[in-house]
Amino acid sequence: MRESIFHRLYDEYHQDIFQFLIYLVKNRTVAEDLSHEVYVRVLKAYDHFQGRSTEKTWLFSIAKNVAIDHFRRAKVRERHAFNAFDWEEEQLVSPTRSPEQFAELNEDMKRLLAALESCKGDQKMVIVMRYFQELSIAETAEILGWTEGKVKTTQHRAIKALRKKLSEKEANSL
Amino acid sequence: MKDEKWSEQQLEELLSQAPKMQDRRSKEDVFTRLKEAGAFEEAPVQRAAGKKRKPFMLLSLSAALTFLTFGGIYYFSQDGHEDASMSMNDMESADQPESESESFDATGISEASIQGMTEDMRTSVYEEQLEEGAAFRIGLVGDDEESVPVTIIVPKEKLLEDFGIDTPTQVDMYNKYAAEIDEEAAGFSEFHPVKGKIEEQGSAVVHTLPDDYDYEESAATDVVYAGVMKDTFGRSYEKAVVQHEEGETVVYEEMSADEPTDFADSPRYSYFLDEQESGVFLSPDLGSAFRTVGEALEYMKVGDRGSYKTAVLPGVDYTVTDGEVVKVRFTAPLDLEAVDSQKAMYMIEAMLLTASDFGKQILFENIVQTEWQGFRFVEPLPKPVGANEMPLEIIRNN
Repeated sequence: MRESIFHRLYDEYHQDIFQFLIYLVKNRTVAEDLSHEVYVRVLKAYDHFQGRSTEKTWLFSIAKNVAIDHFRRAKVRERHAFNAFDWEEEQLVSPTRSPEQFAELNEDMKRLLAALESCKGDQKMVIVMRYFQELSIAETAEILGWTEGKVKTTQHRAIKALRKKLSEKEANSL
Repeated sequence: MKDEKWSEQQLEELLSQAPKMQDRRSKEDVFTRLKEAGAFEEAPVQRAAGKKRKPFMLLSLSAALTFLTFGGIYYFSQDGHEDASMSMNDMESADQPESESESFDATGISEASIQGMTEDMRTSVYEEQLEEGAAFRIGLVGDDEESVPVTIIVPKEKLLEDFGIDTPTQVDMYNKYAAEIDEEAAGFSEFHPVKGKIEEQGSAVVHTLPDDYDYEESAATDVVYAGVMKDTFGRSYEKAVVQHEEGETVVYEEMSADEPTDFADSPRYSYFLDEQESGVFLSPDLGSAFRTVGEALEYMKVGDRGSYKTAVLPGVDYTVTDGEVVKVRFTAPLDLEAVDSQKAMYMIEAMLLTASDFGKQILFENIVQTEWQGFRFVEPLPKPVGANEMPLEIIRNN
């Protein structure tokens, strides 16, 4: 039973979930581990999935929680401070090497992704969901447990923040 | 490159061109790894056994103590963090932060991540943790001049060394350890030890104040004192007697209109998120008292109350049925894997603490998982013996 669920979910969503995770954590090995954890959590809870959200948004909400837990643990190791971690306010930064594909990107894309790393967690999350995963505003809102208005506002602020960071970077490099 | 290059439209176009990232493993590889981990077994994988307790307060305190003692280390960590975030511009030369090298090397990251996922996120202390120690409870004074209940597990060896027995009373432990607690290092205000003498007489704790001193100098102090006494001794003694050296009884209305204060028969409170600068705690809101556990659990649904914030997850509702065991039934199935695990833990433990103040356990109903983070929802959950575990290191010279 669980095996057949895995096969179906893998065929339908695996690469999407993996991409979501790797853009958040910036490390292939970690993304593999986290995708593994997503399956573990999903398979344990699947019998009780109520269909109140779509299967897709349910999977992404679990993946989002798995990723946030990862950053929380990373912060424990780094600063020995666990309870103060607020993913929406803090940066979701992985202090690891980036995937090798990132090295092949053009300079603009590299700068953009670097700027995204320094955005607040809620902004980075929305950018990854809306632009990289091409999720709708409604889907993003459902996954994050936000209103659609909050998604729009956060996206707007994220774009504004990215423009500012990139412009400042340009100015400093001149 | 000029500033105008980064127009909103161009930025959005660039974002939309981000490369697709693929998992290069085969489906078979992913399947095999999951199978080896037991993910396809119908019986839930037993993850609770052998969990590594990593109470959040322990980590927070460590941060505070580390900062105070070795501030440079903290900044070093910050610098490493910054370096890492900037490494996007220089992939080939990006070095991992020195302090992280073990955790984040190519193979170690996998192990650390998976191990971390089994860490126990519980923040309260439970009976099962006291096989080799005793719980010392104390109310520490927080940012808003309120008492924050914390619990320290003192190992048996230390108890034997300090008291000659491994079952000292709360008063014994208070008199030994209260003066040695580094409150400021832990992010609290200096308050302990209280003025005068703390003793016990049967089931009562007796606080004898100097004749020229009382805690009613201001309303705030009165409130703080009442909270501290309740959080420190309320679970261990039935009554509290406050008196001056001459024997004259002191009545603090914030503690009780009667004297002596009857802990056993006094109203109880609901637990809320208590956000301090040093971290998040679960504390009773002494502003609203209840006579029944049902009322107290229902009251937890109210929104923010000053520095207290509801621990109930947004959109979650429940009904409460009082009884020998309190039943809390979530109106809609609660999938603990689909919500923030830390916040879910806060909610569950806030309910457990609220019920335990009434001497009751909770049986949760309509939770998707049967086991989660060391809790088994098929049976009533254990009563916490204390809130907000803190490490022994908070006591100097331990």
